[in-house]
Amino acid sequence: MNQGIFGFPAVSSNTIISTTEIDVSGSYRIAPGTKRLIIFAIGGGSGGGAGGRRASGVAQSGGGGGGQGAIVIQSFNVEDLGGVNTTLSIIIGAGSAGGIGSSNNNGSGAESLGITGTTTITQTGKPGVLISCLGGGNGGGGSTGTPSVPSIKTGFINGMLATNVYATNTASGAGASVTVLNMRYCCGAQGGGIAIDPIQTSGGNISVGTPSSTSVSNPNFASTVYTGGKLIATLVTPVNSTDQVQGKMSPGYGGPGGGSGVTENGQNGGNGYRGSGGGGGGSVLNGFTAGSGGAGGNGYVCIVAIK
Amino acid sequence: MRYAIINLETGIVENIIIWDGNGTLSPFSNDQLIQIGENELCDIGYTFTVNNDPRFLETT
Repeated sequence: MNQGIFGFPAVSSNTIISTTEIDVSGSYRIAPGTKRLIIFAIGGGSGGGAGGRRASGVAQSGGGGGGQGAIVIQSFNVEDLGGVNTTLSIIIGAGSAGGIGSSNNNGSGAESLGITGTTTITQTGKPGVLISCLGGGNGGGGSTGTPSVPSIKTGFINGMLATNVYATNTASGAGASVTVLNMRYCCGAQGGGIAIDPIQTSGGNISVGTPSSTSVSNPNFASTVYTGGKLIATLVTPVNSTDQVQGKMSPGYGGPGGGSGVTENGQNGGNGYRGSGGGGGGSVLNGFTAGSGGAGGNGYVCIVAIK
Repeated sequence: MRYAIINLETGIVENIIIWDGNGTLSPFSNDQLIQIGENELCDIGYTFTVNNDPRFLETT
């Protein structure tokens, strides 16, 4: 009878020894008594794209939301990692900045700035990489068309491919919202655009799924987690998504979009958190300053040790 | 704080990370880790040279 090439371990309990959250690069030592590690990791999030600036009568879109970092969730038997007292090196990828809002007439918004950082975990002193999570793709700038969505980044959840999902941006009018069906939906929302008939519009919301969708999320949230910014009616300023996460061992929510401005400057998008994308900036008419994209959240790692 | 990780053989920035700068950061040597400000231009793929350092304006 085959006894297992790797020498399968005895059954472990499900008693948690510790839960460690890591948002700055460093090391993690596997504590004595640990039989299994469950590791969550996410790469840096991308900033949102900036709003554009056009003449009245020209339809334009708001900046697109930034992409979230790739996610890995995986369980490891400790003996496969070198046993207790082995040290893991944790590298936290940086999020990127949002695009700068256009201050030139008839200009498009900039896409988010730079390339996001990769979050990695390695066994100290050993070759190779245990986990690598790419950073999120850039949010596209607002223009007379539909801003580009971030490039797709693929992670792994329990060994299965887990592709990031983004909102479908709109070409004009209110920014596209993000409906979070699970943790792969932590991109930023689009900023508000302006239609041919120029009125100020709101940025996209960050919302969780409804009974009409198959979804899984933290049950404590109302349907709209973060409201997109708007300069119309009751003012709403986009907030940074730093006060809520999707649950234990999860990324943050993406940042909401900024509202567009017809008679005033556009709003900036909200920042992302824990690997999520920043919201897009709101567009404006010529003569005003468009909103900048919110920054992407830095990467994040959570390790649960089980005996 | 943001740090760039430099490949010392090629001089190319391989990653941008978050680190507090204390001690060492395995598996990298300290001369591979260059602190960059929040608003300083530096990106993955840029080329770092000691004599023409900051902030990595030169691209590959």
